[in-house]
Amino acid sequence: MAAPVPEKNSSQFVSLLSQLLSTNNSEKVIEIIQDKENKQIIKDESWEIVRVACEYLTLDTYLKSRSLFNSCETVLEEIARVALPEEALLEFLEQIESPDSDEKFSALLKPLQIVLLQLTKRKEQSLSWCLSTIKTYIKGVPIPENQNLEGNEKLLMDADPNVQRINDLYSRISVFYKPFIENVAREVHGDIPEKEVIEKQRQLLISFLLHILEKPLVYLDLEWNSEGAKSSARVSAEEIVFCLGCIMPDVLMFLDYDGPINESSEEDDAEVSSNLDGSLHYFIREDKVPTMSLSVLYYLIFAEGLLQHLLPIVYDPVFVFRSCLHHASVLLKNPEVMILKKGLLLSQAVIQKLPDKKILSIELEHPSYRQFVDVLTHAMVYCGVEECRKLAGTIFKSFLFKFDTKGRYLLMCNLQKTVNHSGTLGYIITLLKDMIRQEIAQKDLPNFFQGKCLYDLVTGYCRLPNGAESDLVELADEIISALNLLRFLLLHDEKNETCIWDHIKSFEKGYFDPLREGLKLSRAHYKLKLRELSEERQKAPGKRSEVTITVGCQQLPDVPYDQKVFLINSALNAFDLMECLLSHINECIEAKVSH
Amino acid sequence: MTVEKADSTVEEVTKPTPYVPGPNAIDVSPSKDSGVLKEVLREGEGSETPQPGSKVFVHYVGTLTDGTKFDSSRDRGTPFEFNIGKGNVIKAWDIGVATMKKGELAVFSCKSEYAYGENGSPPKIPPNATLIFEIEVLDWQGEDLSQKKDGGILRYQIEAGEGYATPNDGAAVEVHLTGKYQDNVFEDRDVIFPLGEGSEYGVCEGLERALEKFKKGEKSRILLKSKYAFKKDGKPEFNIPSNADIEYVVHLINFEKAKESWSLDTDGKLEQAKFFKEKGTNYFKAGKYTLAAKMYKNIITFMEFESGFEGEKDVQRKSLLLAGHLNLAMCYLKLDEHIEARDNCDKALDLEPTNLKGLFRRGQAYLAMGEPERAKVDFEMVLKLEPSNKAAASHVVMCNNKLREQKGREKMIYANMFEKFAKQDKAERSNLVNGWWDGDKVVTEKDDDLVPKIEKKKKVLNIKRPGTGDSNNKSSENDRNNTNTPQTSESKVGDKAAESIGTLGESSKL
Repeated sequence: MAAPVPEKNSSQFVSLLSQLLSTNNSEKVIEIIQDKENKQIIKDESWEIVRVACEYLTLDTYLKSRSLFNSCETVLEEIARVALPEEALLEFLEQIESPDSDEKFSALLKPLQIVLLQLTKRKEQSLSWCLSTIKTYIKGVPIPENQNLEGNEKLLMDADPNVQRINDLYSRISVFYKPFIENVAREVHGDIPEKEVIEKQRQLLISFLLHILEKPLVYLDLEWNSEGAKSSARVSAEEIVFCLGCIMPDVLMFLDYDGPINESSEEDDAEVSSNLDGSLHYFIREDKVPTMSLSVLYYLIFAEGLLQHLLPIVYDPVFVFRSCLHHASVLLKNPEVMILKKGLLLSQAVIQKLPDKKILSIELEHPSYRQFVDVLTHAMVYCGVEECRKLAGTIFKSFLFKFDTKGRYLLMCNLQKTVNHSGTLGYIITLLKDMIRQEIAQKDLPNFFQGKCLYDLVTGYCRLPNGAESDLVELADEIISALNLLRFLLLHDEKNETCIWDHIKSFEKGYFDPLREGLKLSRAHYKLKLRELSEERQKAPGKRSEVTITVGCQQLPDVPYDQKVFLINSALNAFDLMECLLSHINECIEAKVSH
Repeated sequence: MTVEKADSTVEEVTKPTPYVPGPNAIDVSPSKDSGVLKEVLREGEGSETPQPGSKVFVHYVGTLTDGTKFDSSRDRGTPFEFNIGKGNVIKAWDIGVATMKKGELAVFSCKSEYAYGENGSPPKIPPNATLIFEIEVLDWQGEDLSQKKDGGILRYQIEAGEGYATPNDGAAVEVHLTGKYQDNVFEDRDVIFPLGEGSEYGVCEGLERALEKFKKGEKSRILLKSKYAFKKDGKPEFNIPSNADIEYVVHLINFEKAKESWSLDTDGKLEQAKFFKEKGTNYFKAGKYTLAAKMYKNIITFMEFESGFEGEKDVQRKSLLLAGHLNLAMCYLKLDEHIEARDNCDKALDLEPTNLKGLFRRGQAYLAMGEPERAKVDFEMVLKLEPSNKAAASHVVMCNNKLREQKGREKMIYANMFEKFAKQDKAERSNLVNGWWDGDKVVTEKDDDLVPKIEKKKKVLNIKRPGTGDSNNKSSENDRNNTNTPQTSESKVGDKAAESIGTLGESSKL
């Protein structure tokens, strides 16, 4: 038995330790800290010792003298084992809340874990403190910049120092949370007396995992196509999702989660927390479930195929489709390509799951679809990566064809009101042509694709907002597509099954005539500009071109001569194409009349 | 005890022996096409079954017809919870579980039309697969509609509504309410009110919260905790003490849909327009002209574009639109907004040039605007179309009186004017030495009001010139053009245009 240690000794112990650390005498440090004789002193002086040891947990020490850094870690772990858990917890929390470096942060995770596992009282509150500290730290890490990486280029991401740092932290954190997950997963099944405590821990951990699934992980590449190496981020994501699978009663339980409750309405927290019977209730509270985290979770489940063995097979496919499109929209809204791409892949995955032409039009009442179409058409045009723009286009097409006839008709009617980008409208008109082609091929032409309905739909896409004076360059895409569509209709419906011929006069008057007139005007205008340009060039060959070109009410910024000529020529080409289509249409009409 | 029992049955089902529905199996599918067959393995307690919208807790084991187990909540260790009757789960479940009592254990044989259909659910469910589910209902709760999920507003559906749309904040809702406190009905009434303004109509907060989640045609029992109902004050006139929990049966008969709703087809639009017409008329009768006008304007927004309407429906559309404009004109007359009243009459008369109400109301508007001459034309037209119309006749007389009055006044003005001109001429002549431009004395004194009067006169004369009917049409045509211009001038910004050139090749390829 060691003699009772006088008080004086304890302060001596701290100064000895401090001295040993400053002289980098690692062996001796470990020796005195592990000496059973000193147990009581360590227990009494834990606060001081933690403070002293933490001073050496710097990046500098880590790089220059690893052994010193390691011995400090050993000191802290020893304290975690020896000191009163409640006290040690507060000491470590105080230190981890002000980390100067990732090294200090990581070094403190292990002792924290030891303490938490020893705690007997107020377990969930302590866990909650720790998890929220970790969460805050990792969310503060800088994210990699949006670099619009295409194809294999994204493999370069793992070389980005920010990405490496994030990956590093995630793997350290995973070591920290795993024992708690295992604990909960083991006991949630058994009928144990402290069920409520476990339940509380489970909710805490689910919320925590969802949080770290969001930022900064969402900015990283999580794709893996079953060949090649997984990115480190993907490995971390899989780990998190796997843990979620272990402790969530149903990983799809948040499918129709519609955001946290509005906190502005009267506060009475006490009442809410007293009412924790249903498992969803806890998560209704604000900040328990960050919205994007669910999107990432469902992206990983449906697009990346994780947790397939755990999915309850009782959910309605259309419900899953609708809910996932909502979650995909959250991702698609984000300008970061890495995030947007996840949205695209999620929507693609759920759209592929459903058969064509089966979703009832009444579904469209759900605002999710409108939101989805809005963000998807936006991504189609404005996303910085070509691969994604194209993918968005393909997804859009297969989405439209999932609905029944009436649904497709309603979608097409409404799209012309919500979309205003000419290129997109051109694309939509091309899809409309495909749709009508399919319908005409059927025996019974549905009411929606004939007569007045069809006429109204088609005229909606024959837009010349300022009549003959409309800007034909700006509208080129939609005009060419619309003319193509009309020509197709006239050619393929000689028997007038769609009754499109009944409306030919209105098309002539409302569209073809002003368009012809507009073409004359525009062509003359651009030819004049072309002449101005060449004259300017002849007069002063080397000078900067000053002829102005206006497209869509806005003057083009200062562009060089060659580009201006190119622009004008491409406009003239577009006019040629329109004229050519118009004359084809005319031929059709004349042939019909002469018959 | 139940757990043990359940476990024993699990073992039976997990044996890879194919399940064949026994002789006691009953067809629970609504269309009786044997799509969902149910065989009770253990009876439940009581007679209550979960109402649509309730949150149901079950344990289940799902197998294919060859006995392969594809999913089991028992293996996961936690009961599965879901909201029944919302289409969140496969149809067979919504139908099947709704027939079960608490504690009941049953096997369902579900045809693919009621499950995953022709696509199946890869990888576990093959196409067109019939699924066998053994389900045990553990418990259920009414659907909690309170934001805080504190059990303060519970819904038990009686009749399901249609579609997905629910009323937005501010949307007009038409409901039937039956309020009960301790088995005494304290109110039973129809009420129309804008959601969010229920307090004005004696509708308590909790009911409004609940209605936000109602679909059209839905009828439900709503249990309200006092804090969502009449709170501390109670409701003495209904004999409801303070802090009393109450109960309602609420039927959402109809509501105003968001105009941008994608699923509104022509029938939906007609229905909405009729709804607003009725509501507008109610407000009008109650003397609430501003509100009535708001309702009538909604008719116009739903009906003004003919796109999609055909035949009989287009006739209906036109008549509703006509009614909308006419009634709106009437509201504006009451509100003394005569220009708007005239404009709406113009629009109504565009639709039906000989509409008596349109002509009459426009006449009234003109009369109130101080244009008896135009008014008279309209009233005379009414008389021509309906010679017995006494009101029109009396208004013609009113117009004539006004005109005479005006003429008299004009006569005076002109008389004075000529007199003055004569005097001026004299004065000018005497000052001729200085030249006609030097006429500082010529300025007419104390006749400041002369100029506006002449202007007015000119206006009246001007109006006389073009043919009366024509002028109306022209002006309304101008109106239409005017309303068109803002739309057309909304041109796209340049960068989009530049983009569109860029994507030109691409999109035409697509």
